[in-house]
Amino acid sequence: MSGDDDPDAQLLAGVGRNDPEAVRQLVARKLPRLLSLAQRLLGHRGEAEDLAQDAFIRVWKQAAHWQPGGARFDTWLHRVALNLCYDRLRRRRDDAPAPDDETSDPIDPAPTPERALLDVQRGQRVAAALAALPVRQREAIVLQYYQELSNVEAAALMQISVEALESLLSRARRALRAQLIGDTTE
Amino acid sequence: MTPDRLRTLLSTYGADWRRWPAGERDAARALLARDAAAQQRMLDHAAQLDEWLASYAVSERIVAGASTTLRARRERAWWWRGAGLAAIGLAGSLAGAWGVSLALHDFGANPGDWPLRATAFSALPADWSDE
Repeated sequence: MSGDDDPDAQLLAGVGRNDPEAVRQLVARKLPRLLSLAQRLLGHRGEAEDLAQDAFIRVWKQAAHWQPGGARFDTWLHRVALNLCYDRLRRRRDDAPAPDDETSDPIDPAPTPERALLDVQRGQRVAAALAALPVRQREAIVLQYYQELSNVEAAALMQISVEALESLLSRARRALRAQLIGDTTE
Repeated sequence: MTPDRLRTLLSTYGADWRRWPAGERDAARALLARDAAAQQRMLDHAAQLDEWLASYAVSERIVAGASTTLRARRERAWWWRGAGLAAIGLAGSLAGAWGVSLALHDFGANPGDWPLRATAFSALPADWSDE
């Protein structure tokens, strides 16, 4: 999709004019998606928040110079966030990707304590299973499943073909199934 | 759409047809509708993993916390930018005042040579009738 029908273009123009309301709306619209991407790729809440802030700093700098008609803003923002994720993952490449205390509360409070506890436990298991995936498989599942990007958009962001994306997704889901459900068939 | 391709879609994109490639959705759903019983096991299989993945949500509380931090950081940045502009404005005012003071300053010229409100053209004769 080109930037001609970019749903964020008007908001971005407002940010470029330093309109506080446009800034507020853009943060409200994009922050959950940025945190969603970063937390699931990095598996670390604090790092995800830092990354979101770094990404928004780039948005503030870019907004006044944004040229409609090129890439969609959301695609550009995902590209920025992915690059920031890569930087962080590279820096800790040799570390074990175990979730720490800060990933212990990624779930919204549920109506009952029992249900909340169950959700937290399930969320923690998914976080751990995602963290155990090879980076490219994790990236594929986060972009396609959690960020709800189309296969074409996700493949373009990862700079691979749709067929290669499907292969990564299929292997990722098989590994997650084995981790979470103990089932190796798909 | 073949049963094999449908199986690939389910194992790749999950049970929710809205996540399937746009160009294949209709054909895949038609195949599912025609042969629901045969495909149901695969569908359930994929839905089971989808349900697990959906349980890993990003908390609204985390979003709210990050939003507050972000707003504070941006407001701080704006404050510093405003303070910077004010400082530039102040520096400009001071420079202007200094320039004006230089322009008005009497650099020790002899009052006898430079009468009050004299200009560089003051020495020119006012009466050019003899030329």
